[in-house]
Amino acid sequence: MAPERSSETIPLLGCDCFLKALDGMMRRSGQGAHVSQSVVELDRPPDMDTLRAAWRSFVQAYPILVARLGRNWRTLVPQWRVPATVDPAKIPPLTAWREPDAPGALQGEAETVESLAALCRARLNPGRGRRRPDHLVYLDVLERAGGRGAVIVSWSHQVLDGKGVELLLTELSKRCEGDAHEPAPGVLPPAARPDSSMREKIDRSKAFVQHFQQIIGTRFASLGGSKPTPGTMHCRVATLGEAESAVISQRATERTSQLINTPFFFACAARAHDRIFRHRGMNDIPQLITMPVQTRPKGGSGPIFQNHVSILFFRLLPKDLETVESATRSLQQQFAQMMRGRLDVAFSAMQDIMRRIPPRPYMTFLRLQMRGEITSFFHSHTGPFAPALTQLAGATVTNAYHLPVISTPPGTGLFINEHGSRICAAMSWRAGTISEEECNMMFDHFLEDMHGGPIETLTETLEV
Amino acid sequence: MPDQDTLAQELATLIQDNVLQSAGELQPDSDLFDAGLDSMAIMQLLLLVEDNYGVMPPESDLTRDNFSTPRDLARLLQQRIDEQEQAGNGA
Repeated sequence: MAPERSSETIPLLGCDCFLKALDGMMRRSGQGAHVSQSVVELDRPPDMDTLRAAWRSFVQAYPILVARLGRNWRTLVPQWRVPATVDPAKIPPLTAWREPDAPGALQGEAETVESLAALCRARLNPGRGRRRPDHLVYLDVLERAGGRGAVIVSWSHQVLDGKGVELLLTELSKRCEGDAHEPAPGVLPPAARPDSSMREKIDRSKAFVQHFQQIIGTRFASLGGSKPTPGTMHCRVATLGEAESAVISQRATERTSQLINTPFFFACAARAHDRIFRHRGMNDIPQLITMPVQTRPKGGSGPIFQNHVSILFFRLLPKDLETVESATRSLQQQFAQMMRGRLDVAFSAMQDIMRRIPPRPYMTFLRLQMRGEITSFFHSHTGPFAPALTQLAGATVTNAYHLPVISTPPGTGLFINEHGSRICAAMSWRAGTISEEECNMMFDHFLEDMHGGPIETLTETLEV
Repeated sequence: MPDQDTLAQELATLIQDNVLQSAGELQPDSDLFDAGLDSMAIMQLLLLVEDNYGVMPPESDLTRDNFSTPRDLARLLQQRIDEQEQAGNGA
């Protein structure tokens, strides 16, 4: 019998607190809560009984999923209040759906939804109000036309990051298989949580402060502008074919290296944004871009929950953006310099210091430093999507990708992940930040820069 | 400069202590990618190698083959260090 668990409090990490502040800004300005999405496409619908049992067992094992946010009034650090037992009525819902032309494997237990895109759209835009969704995670299963399936995880960025969702799905898959395995850790053990003195944190953060002071004089802009404004969330995801993906990987390797190729994709994302600035007559606009980097202990299988992310701040001047090669080179050099100076550690220390600041003044302070902006655009390259996730409740995984949700500012983002030997390119934007013509222009430019020319046929595109 | 076997063991310890702390004990033939080596970790490893051995492998050396195991990395480093010494002697 498992030992009785007592309730516990889990302090938010540095990046969690930034995202809490961002979520507050988004909800106050009518953008809705910060809920992102991850989609796993399957060759058939998963076995629902297996998946339901595995999900219940998962939530029982990781009760942070039913926790409530509070604040430790001694340290002033926000914290999750995790109950000792999980009330079955509070388990985040697992809902079955079917497309109108689906064969009917989930008939009788599934509601009808127009399409995968429609389902994603509804979850990505949980409402314009200030209220948070009732649950931190929603699991949706879709039976698709042609007998295919999909599992969609809609997740609050307050409790998960992209890598964490991949770990969640991998752990869920193992529970579906009934494998005896060591469960992945849910959160950092207390000994590993940030716990240095304020003096130590201030000392450690100095390198970031110096770097920031050097670059913040740059007058940068975002396509959405600096005013938080409401706007429906949209995503476009293109899964490229193996041949096109191989061409892109080769181009990335030639311009960087086989092992550290993310600056190439970053450069293409930056140039795609520059294209739109120029289209608007805003020529020679520098860019200041934040890029998340993982801080999870390397070599382990977790932890699943919380945002284990630090941020590196990159600057691209107009001359850097002239070619893919010049942008890539600039980003590579900056990356190497920042890693030499361990600016990831320095920024984590800064984030840690700021944990105590309530969300509203936190965001005010941050945006004051950045002249109202947050970053020129959002970008991340999350690499292979959960490589160990090959099966889910009896169905084979055929593709998997994230639909990142973003705020205005900045209003736009370009993202990459991989599945097998295929690259998934995603563009996220808020309605009102860019026109339809600009969307197409940006995405085409992004793909063409990566591929070295137009990609004639995009056979797998999801438009949300 | 230690021999290649010793260098491989040194690198395994260096990586285990500084880069892949959660991977458990690494051996000269441990698969570093299976142990969690990613682009951030590779960058940290390159900086450690430069600090400890005075060598920064060029981008063309950053291949899966050269970084698969500590022994593979040791082979690469030995080669680059020998070249550096020869270039120094020839100057």
